[in-house]
Amino acid sequence: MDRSQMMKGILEGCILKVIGDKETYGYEIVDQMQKYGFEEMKEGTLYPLLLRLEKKKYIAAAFKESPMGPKRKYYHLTKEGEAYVREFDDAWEQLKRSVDQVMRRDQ
Amino acid sequence: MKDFWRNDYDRICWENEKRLDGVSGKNRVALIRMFWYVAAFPVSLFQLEVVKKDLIGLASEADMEKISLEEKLGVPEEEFCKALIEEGKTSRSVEKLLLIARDAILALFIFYTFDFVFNGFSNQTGLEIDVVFFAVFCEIGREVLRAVARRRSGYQDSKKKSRIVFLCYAIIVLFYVGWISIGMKGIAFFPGHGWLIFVILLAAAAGIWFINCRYWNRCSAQYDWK
Repeated sequence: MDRSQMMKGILEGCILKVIGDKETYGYEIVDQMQKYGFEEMKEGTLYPLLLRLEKKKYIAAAFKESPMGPKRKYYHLTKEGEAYVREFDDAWEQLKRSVDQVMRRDQ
Repeated sequence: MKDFWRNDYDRICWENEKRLDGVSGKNRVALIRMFWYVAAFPVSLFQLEVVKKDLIGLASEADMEKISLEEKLGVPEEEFCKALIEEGKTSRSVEKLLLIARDAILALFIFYTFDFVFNGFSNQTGLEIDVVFFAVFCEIGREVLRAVARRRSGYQDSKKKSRIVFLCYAIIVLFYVGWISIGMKGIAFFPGHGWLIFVILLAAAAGIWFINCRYWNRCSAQYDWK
């Protein structure tokens, strides 16, 4: 089954939630998402999504010193991003209930 | 005052060039290939530099981890570039025209300054058609050649398209050379005293420099790149 279309919107919401928990950077976001079960998430798939979220002003970024060497880009949620996460959460709850009702109706 | 002299676009370009020197070997080759590929598509010039800055950071980390950039990204280069292009698509005609106008006017100003320094300010002089067209053609030509080079690099085989573009420009250049040869040389479309021409060019150069800086500094405020 091709999950890619379904995943696009879901990934945005989940990434924003991870960023909302604390200010973080690309590799850490990938690591968190993989731990939550998004095993296909890589930095290469994350970066274009972060670009999109920055364009929409849901996240903002700042370069900070990193122990690895070059300065690292840290992302944090904006007020618009916080509002979007709340909306996403509500929409997801509603969707989950509806899909569960359809898929489990015979049970 | 800062807006007049400096702009963030030149600054980020310079920073990226400097940081790119810190990336070595295959990762550097991969980066340059990706940059040229993405630059061949309508992506905002400033956003392109912001993306370059981020990618150079990733490549530097990949260097330190002793892995390839593609391993660091976790997806094939071309797939990654296509995703970037998808997110960054926008018209950049204004940006290109601004840079062409800036460089052409500055080239004219420098040319006529040298002319006035060595030949003095004449009573009967002016902006000559062939000189103005030459400045404009050089700048347009530089952009055309860059576009051709971008299309020839990267992952697509678009050599045929780039040959057509190159041929079109070659025809324009030959037309220009022929036009000059039949006697358009030396005709001033804006005649006047040398001082007047110099002042006009100085004002035009200062004006285009200010407009250029102001535009790029406003553009830079949309991005988190500092």
